Amino acid sequence: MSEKEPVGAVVLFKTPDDLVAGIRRAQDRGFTRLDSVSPYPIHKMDEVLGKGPSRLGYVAAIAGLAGTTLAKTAQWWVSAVDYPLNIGGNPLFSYPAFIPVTFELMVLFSSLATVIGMLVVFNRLPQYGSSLLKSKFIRDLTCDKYGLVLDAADPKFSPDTTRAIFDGLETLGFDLLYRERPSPFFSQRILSVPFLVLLAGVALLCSSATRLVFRYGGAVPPFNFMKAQEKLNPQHESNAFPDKTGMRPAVPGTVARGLLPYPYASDAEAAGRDLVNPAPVTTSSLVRGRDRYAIFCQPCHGREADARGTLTAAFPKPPTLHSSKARGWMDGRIYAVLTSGQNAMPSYASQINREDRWLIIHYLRALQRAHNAEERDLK
Amino acid sequence: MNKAADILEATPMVLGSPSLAQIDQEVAVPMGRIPGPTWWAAFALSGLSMLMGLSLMGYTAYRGIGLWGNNSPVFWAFPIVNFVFWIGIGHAGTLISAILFLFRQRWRNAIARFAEAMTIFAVMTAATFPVMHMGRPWLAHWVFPIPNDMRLWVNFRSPLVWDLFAISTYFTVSLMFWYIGLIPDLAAMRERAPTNAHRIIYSILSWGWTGLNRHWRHYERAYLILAGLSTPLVVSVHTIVSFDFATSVIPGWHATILPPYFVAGAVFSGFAMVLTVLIVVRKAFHMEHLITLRHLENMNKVVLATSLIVGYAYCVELFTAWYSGESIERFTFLNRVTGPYWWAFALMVLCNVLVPQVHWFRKARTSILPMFVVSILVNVGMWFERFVIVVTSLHRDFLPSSWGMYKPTLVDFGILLGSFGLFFTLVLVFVRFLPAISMTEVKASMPQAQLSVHPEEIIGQPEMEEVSV
Repeated sequence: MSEKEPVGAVVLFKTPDDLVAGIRRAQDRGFTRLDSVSPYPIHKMDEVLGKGPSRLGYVAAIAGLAGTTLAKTAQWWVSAVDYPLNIGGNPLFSYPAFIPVTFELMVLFSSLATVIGMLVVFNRLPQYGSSLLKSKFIRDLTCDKYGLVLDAADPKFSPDTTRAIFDGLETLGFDLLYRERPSPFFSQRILSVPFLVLLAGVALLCSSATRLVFRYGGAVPPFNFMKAQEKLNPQHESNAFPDKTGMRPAVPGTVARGLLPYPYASDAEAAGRDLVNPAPVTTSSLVRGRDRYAIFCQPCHGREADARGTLTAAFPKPPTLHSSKARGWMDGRIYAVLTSGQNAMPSYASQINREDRWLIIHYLRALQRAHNAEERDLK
Repeated sequence: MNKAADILEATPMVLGSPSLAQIDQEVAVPMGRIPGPTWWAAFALSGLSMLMGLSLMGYTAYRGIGLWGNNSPVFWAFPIVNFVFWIGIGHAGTLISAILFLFRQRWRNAIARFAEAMTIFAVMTAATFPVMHMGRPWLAHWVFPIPNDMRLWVNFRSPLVWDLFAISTYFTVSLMFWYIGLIPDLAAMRERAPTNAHRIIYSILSWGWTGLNRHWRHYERAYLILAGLSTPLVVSVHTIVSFDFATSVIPGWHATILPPYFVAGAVFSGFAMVLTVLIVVRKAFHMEHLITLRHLENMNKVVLATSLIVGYAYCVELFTAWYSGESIERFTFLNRVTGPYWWAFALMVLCNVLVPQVHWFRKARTSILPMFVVSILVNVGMWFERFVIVVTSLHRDFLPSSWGMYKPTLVDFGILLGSFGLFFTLVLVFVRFLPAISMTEVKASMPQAQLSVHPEEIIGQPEMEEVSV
């Protein structure tokens, strides 16, 4: 179309009373689609235009009720169901203590709904493409003048003759309104392709930034949870002692508590010959052995000692402990492996105490027997 | 002339009856100009203080809060004192914008915008303190009930959690209230923008506001609802802040008078701060005829009234301590008045109760210098009130073996100064870029802006259909 059709017209007035006179004139001529424009809300203008009070109050009330319900339910579920905390012996659903948060959420929901409802739902803002914004009067209309807006959809409207109906009134001007081409920046369409691409880009950027922060940010002080502290670290330098070592040598002529000499470090076969399992086989010792096994051995050796542990993907796979070789070993020989390590397996002497090492061996014997049951075991 | 206009005529809120366009001109023009040397000097000073405060906060986050004077038994010290002080400052804004709006005190129109902005800035300033006090401020989101892989929830029976909800709701609602009020003014600014950049920014922020009556209708209702919601909200906020103290068993804190006492104190200090800043701003921006002596006098009356309430609360606290017959409670208040921190108590009574009494005299209420001095002293006094409450109650409680003394460090003072820097920097940026006086509301309260219609003209009018232009 080469010639643009006006979408309406605006008549400019100097005072609010002139504006009302203009409205009356338009109404007399049968106009029904009209509205006033003013730089501030004019008292009583709603009544002049025959408008009742806004229904925004219902929105506020419903949202407030929703906030109240949500707050009460959430606090009950958190405090009495999902994470029950005994605070001074009070009931888990402490109704009075939940009132402050309930009230705040009521206000928050109600206010948010009021503001969003007013702007977006009731007033259908933003209207960056409103034809009024392109009117030559818009500066006056937001400053100190008053406008009467007529809609071109009104059956009485005609671009050529409408102006004449205000003859004889105190008007300051008349302007036809034209709809602008929609702005590329303020498109009202949310689902346009560039916008969605932008959205996806922002999402990608945010998630990768978050990933990077969580991956590397935690290693930087002070975000590393006090990993770097001025404390005594074994194998590290320390300024606390004159010799600058963090580890302390034993005082000459003393032994550590509970230390027994272990002479088989270089001769595992001798340990197998000489050492006898001192622990009794009882239910409680087997349970203890099972627990220690689960903690220290299972990650590599597997729950059944069949070398199907969860760490075998990352570490060298150990041999199964159900081989005839392993079954044939004496308890002392296995004890030597636990104490000194063997091949890829390190020593566990510093982590498992002597008694527990013997209990683990008892439990291992139980596993071996269960896996290689003989006929007499069934009796 | 109708009755409303008569009343307006009798007590002009705007001197010299300017035209509506002049009001716009006077409010908007300072924003289009390059600010003068005074503004830059003030901005440099407050900006530098802010930077110093922020660096000290960064240093605290790095080294830990051992840099502060907080100790055992005074675990809550400067951070909580400053937090309560700043939150209190904010309350005047909501009182002026919401409560006086509901009471149809139209003199509030000229100062509401500014006071609301101060509310928002004060809450922002206040929020930095508890966050820093956590020691690991980057984990501050843990205070929200967010589902997490530790399967932990916050304790909804803790007043600190209530406080979190109160402060964040207060900030959100105040921000929306302020912004809603700004939209028509931003539309006016859009039409008189000095540069294209201004125009684009004001355009976006004003949502394409044109001033159609069908928009005003919902707009006014939204404003009314927000005022109605903000009124109980503002009372709840400082009530809940006082619960942080009152629900504990520390002598001197565990008192039922704390909520009303805190709310009155908040209004008291908030009005004093609004006065301090407005006296400077109206002078600097030549707005003496828009923010008139009548506004200042009214605010001074509020200061006087709340000063009396606060003074009454001090007396009741002392009386209750004596009347309770409880030895530790008695000791706490005796220690407040005569103990090692007696000077803080004396300063508090002097600044909060005695000095504001000059406002009984009309001459003091309507002269700039006395009211300026009083407003500053009230702020000093109110800061010391919080110091007295927090420190004197904690430093000597039930167990004499755990008594101690509190001494703030230079870092504490630096962060306190930095908080003033942050607040005033925000105020300065605000008066530079946004209309500090609500042009819309001032215009709406002018006599020539009223409609003189006969009652029969507005009864039973046919309803007009909506325009879509």
